[in-house]
Amino acid sequence: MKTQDTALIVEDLGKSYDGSVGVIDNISFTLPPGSFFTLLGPSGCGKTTTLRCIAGLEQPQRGSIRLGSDVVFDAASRVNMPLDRRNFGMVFQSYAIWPHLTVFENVAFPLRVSQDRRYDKASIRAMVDEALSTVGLAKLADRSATRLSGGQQQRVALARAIVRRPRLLMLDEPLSNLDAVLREEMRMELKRLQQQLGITTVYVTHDQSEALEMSDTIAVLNRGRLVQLGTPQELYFNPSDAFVAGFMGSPNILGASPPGMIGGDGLAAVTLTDGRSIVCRFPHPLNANEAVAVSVRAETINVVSPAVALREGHNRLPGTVITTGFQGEHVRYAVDIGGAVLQATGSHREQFRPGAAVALDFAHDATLGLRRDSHPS
Amino acid sequence: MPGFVPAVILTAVLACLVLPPILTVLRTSLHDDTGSGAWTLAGYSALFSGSTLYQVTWNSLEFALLATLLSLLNGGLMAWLVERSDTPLKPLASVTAVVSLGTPYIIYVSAWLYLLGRAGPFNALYRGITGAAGTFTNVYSISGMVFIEGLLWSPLVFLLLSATFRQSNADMEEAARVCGASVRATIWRVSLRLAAPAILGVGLFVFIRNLEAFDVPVLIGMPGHIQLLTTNIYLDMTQAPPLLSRASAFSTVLMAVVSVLLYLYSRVSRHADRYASVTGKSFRPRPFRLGVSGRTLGGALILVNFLIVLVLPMLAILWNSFSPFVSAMTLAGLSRMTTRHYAAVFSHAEYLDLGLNTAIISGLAATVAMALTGVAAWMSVRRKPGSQLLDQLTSVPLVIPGVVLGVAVLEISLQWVPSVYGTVWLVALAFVIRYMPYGMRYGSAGVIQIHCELEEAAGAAGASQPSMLRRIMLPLLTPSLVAGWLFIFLLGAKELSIAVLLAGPNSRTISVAMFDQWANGASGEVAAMGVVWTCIMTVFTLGLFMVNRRRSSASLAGNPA
Repeated sequence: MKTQDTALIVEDLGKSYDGSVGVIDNISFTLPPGSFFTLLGPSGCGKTTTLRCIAGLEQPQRGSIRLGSDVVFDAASRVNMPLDRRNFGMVFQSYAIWPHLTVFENVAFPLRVSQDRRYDKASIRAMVDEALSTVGLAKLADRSATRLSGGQQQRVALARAIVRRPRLLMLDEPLSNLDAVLREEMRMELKRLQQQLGITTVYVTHDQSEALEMSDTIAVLNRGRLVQLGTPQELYFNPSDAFVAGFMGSPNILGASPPGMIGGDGLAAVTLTDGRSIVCRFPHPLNANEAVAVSVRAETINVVSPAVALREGHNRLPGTVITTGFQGEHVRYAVDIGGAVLQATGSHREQFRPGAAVALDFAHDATLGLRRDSHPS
Repeated sequence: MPGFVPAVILTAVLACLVLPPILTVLRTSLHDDTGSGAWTLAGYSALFSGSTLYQVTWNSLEFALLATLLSLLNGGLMAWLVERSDTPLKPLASVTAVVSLGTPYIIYVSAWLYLLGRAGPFNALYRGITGAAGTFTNVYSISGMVFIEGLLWSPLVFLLLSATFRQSNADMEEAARVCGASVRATIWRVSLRLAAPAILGVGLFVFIRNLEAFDVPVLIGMPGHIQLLTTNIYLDMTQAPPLLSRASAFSTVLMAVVSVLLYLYSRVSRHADRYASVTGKSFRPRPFRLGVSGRTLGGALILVNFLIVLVLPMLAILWNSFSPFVSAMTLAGLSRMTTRHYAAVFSHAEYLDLGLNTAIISGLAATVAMALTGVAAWMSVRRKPGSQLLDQLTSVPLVIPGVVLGVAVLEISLQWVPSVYGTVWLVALAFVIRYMPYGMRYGSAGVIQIHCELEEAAGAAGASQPSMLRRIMLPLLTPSLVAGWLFIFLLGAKELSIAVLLAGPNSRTISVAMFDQWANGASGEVAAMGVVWTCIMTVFTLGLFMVNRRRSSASLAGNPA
C-alpha cells in the first residue's frame, strides 16, 4: 500500500495546560517507515500527551505532524485532520474493549463505522478473521468481551487497532496492566507482529528495559522536553545527560568539577566533590567550565581486594562494603567511598563481608562524564 | 461473647422494624373490618370483582410510565450535556437540580397548578391571543399529572445519570473515535449502549417511585377524579369508618407489583456492574465538541429547562406569596403586593412549631437510620459472622410504598400502643423504616471505598476492634454518613404520604400543614411558607452537594487502583 511507505514527521510540537502535568514543548522527530519508535520517560513527562496529539485526541498549540506528504496537523496553517479521518490504530492502556460487543464485533467496529469506504459482509468477515488470527485469537471470535483475561483483552485491542491496516500503530503503555510473565511474552509477540505487518509504530512506556528490547529508536522525555533521541545502544552507552543515564538504569551518579582539556580520545580528568580525581570519557561536547555528572554502571564497577594492582586505563577508588546481595554468577555490593555510596559488582568467587575494606576498579571508558541536566528549569 | 452476637442483635432489631408493617398489612387484608377476627378473602374478592382495581392500576401504570419517560428524557439529556459536551450555561442545570431537590413537592405542584390553572398566565395568554373564553389545557388530567410528575423527578434523574456519565471510561469513546467513528456514530454505537444498563436502572427506579407517588395523584388526580393506586388506598383509609381490609388488600397488590419491579431492578444493576471495566489513566473524560449549532441548541435546552423546572414555578410561588388572593400575573396585580402572608408565617407560633416538628422528625429519623445502617453496612460489607441477612432486611422497606407504610404503622400503633399515635415519635419511626434502604446505600458505598487493609493495619498496629472502629473506621466513614444523613433529612422534610396519615394535630410537618391549608384554599400562606422553607432546604441541599464532592475526591485519593 502506498500510504504505508511514508515517514512520520513531528516538528516542534507544543502544548500547555492549566496545570503543569503533561505539558510538552518543542518535540521533534522523524520516523522512517516501518520503524518501531518508543517515547520513554517517567510519569508526567509528556509522553502520553505527545501520543495523544499524534492520535488527534489532543490538539497541540504549536508545531506540525505530517505523514509523508499528508499534513495531519499544522498549527501555523490551522490544519487539523479530525481523529476519525486519520486512520491510525491505537491500543489504549486500559484496552478499552467495549463490553457490550463480542470479540468479533469489537474488532469489526472500525470497518463498520468507516466513513471512507463501505465494507461488505464478506470482506468484514475476512478482515476480522485475519486480524484475529494474526493475534492468535481466531477461536474466541464469538465470546463476549466481558469474559476475557487481561492478555486476551490486550490481543483483542491489538486486532482492533490493525484490522483496517492503519497508516500508523500507536500503543499506550499496553503491557502495564499485565502480570510479569505475560509481559515478557507479549514483548516478543508485539515485536514479531510489528515486523510481520511492517507498520510504523509509536510505543509509549516508562519501562526502560521494554524500550531497549523492542525499539529501533527511542526518544527520552523529561518534563515535557525531548532529552535524547537515538538507538537503544546510543542511549545505553552514550547517554546525553545524567537524567538519561539514571533512567537507563545507572545507579551511580557523582558530582564533579569541570574537566580540563578533553583529549582526542574523549578522555579527561575531573575532580570529584570529595577531592579525588578520576578519568572520564565524554561522549558529548560540553560547554566550557560546565560542572559535570559522572555516571558509572554498577555492572562495570569491579569490587576487588585492595591488594590487586591497578590496571592501565582504569580508575580506582577505595571503600568499605556496606551490604552484599547474592545474584547468582555475580554479587551486588553497596560500597561506601567516603561521602557517597556506589553500587558495584563482584565475582561470586571472592566474596567480601560488610565492613571489609575493598577497592573499586572501573575502566576510564566506562566512566561517563555527562551534563547534569540538558534543560535546567 | 462469641463474634456473631452483635450482628445477630442488629439483625433482630432490624427485623423488628421492617417486618411488622408488611405482616400487619397482609394480616389486615385477610380479615374483614367488623373485628370478628375470622380469616377471609373478602377484601381481595371485593377488589378483584369490581372494575376499580383494573381501572386504577391502568391509570397508575400509564401515569408512572409516561412520567418516567419524560424525566428520563429531560434529566438524561441535561446530564449528558453537562457532563459530556462543551455546551455553555452548564451551571444553570446544576443550580436547577439543587434548588429543586430542596423544594417540597406540594409547593412545586401547587405552583404548576396555578401556572396551568384557569387563572394562571398560560391560559390568560391563550385567551389574550385567541380571544376565546375557555382554557387551552386542563391540568387536572393524566397528561397534566404526567407533565408535573415528570418535571418533579427530572432533577434526581439528572443527578443519578450525571454520576454515570461522569464515571464513564473515556477510553471507550476515544477508542471508537480513533477507530474512525464520527461523533454521532460514537454516541450511538458506544456511549448510549454502554450507558443503557444504567439508564434502564434509573428508569426502573423512577418508575417504582412514580408508582408509589402520592403528592401529584392526591393534589391533581383527586380533584380531577383520576384515581391511582396510592390515592385509592388513601381514600379508603380516610373514610369514616376506614375500609381497612380493602386498603390493605390494595396495598398488598401494590407491594407485590413493586417487589417484581425491584427484582428486575436488581438484575439490571448487577448487569450494569459487569459493564464496569479496567480503567486506565485518570484522564478526565474529554467533552464532545458539538460545534456552533450544537452548542447553541444545547445551551438553549439548558436555558429552557432552567426556566421551566426552576424559574417559572419559583416565580409563581413568589407571586402567590405576595398576592393578597389568587390572581393572574398582571401589572395591576403588582400594585396589590403585600407582605401579609410572610408576616403571618413569621408571627404565628404555629408555623414555628411546624418547622420544629419537621426538623425533629427528619433529624431524628436521619440520625437513627444512619446509626443503624452505618453499623449494618460495615458488618455486611466486611462479611462479619451473622451478618448475612442485614443487607436484605434493610432493603425490605423498598417494597413498601409510603402510603402503605403509613397505613401499616397506623394499624400497629392503634392496635398495640395507641398512646404514641399522633406523636412525632411515631412519624419519626415510620421515617426510619422508610429511609433505611437509602442509609444502607450510603453506608455500604462508604465502607466499600475504605480498603479493608486500612482496618487490618490498625489491628496489626495493636488496636482492639472497638478502638479500630472509633479511630479508623468512623473518621473515614464520616463523610458518607453525613451525606446519607443529609439525604434522608431532605427526603423526610418533603415527605407527605406517611406524615399525612400518621401526624396528629401537634405533630404536623410542614408538608402536612401545607397540604391542609392548600385543601382549605389558603394558598397565599402556603406559598409564603414554601418560599421560606425552600430557602432553608436549599442550604441543606448545598451542604449535601459539598459533602458528596469531597467524598468523591477523597475516594479518588484513597484508592490508587
